[in-house]
Amino acid sequence: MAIATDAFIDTGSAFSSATSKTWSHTCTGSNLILFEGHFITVAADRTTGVTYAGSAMTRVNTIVSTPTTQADLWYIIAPSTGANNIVISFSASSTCSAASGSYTGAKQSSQPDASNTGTVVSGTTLAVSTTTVADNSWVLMYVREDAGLMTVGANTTYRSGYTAYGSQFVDRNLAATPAGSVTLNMTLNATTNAGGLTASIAPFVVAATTGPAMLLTF
Amino acid sequence: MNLVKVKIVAFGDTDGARYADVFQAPDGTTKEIESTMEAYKALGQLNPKNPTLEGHRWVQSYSDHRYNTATGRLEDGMYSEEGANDHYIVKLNGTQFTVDKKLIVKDILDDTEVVALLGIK
Repeated sequence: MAIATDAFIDTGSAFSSATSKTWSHTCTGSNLILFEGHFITVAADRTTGVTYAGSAMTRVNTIVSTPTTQADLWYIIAPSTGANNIVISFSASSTCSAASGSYTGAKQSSQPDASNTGTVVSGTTLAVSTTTVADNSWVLMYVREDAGLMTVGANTTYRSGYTAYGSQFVDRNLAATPAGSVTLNMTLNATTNAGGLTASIAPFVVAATTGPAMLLTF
Repeated sequence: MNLVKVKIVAFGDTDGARYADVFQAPDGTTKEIESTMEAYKALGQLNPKNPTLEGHRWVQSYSDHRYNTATGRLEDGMYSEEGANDHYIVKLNGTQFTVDKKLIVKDILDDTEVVALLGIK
């Protein structure tokens, strides 16, 4: 079963300070996986948890992407379908922008297939490579930059993001086959600091079935 | 830059904190309506009943500290301690920042620091 995009939501236009933040994400389809990405404007790990429909999500990675911000990527396999809410909780009041993205056709265990992080200080481009393990995996990235208005580079597809605040969900929009290194690229708005968190999604594979044995008699 | 020091009267996610629903109009403007802890906590459960406002789309809800200000919010040009944390919360040009306590002396935040903070988008 091929991986496909489901839905992408961005709350960036509601950039605000909060000790917790809640927004709606509707998951539709089968063999779903949901990702959540957010950043805060302080270089400290303040995220105490992320839930979807009341179920805990799992952190893929976190980075202090610049001297002044921190970014996170979280996921949950088999999220409840329908309109439910994502809730992020912080240990202190934090100015936060957040986004979420879901995919269908994902393997329903042992995710993410692989992950990586990358940062650039005073750069104009950001490239983050991920070495996929399963054949036909998709690679996505939540990326954050300080200057805002970054654009996607080669082999990278924009999914959502409030560009004025410099955070986006992007992916390769293509299954990686055979498995190997996949690089997602961003062109930054200025010479600035940026960081990206990647994850690859292994596809759902229908188990091969063996038909009934045939007894041949002569 | 001169700032006004205020205090937190209820910490976020506690009873008495500030809970708000944020809605967006078709023209892109946003409107916030105060909510309650009970209503906010219910949003995190399975199959929630999300806030509605005629002619608007619900964007998000959030909780935050309540301050001893007229609005209950930290407003531009104000700063506050945050419990036992070693930082101040300060609000500049509509955005809240965290700054080391040693950077605000006698209610003054150095202009160089203000420029650096406002450079973060």
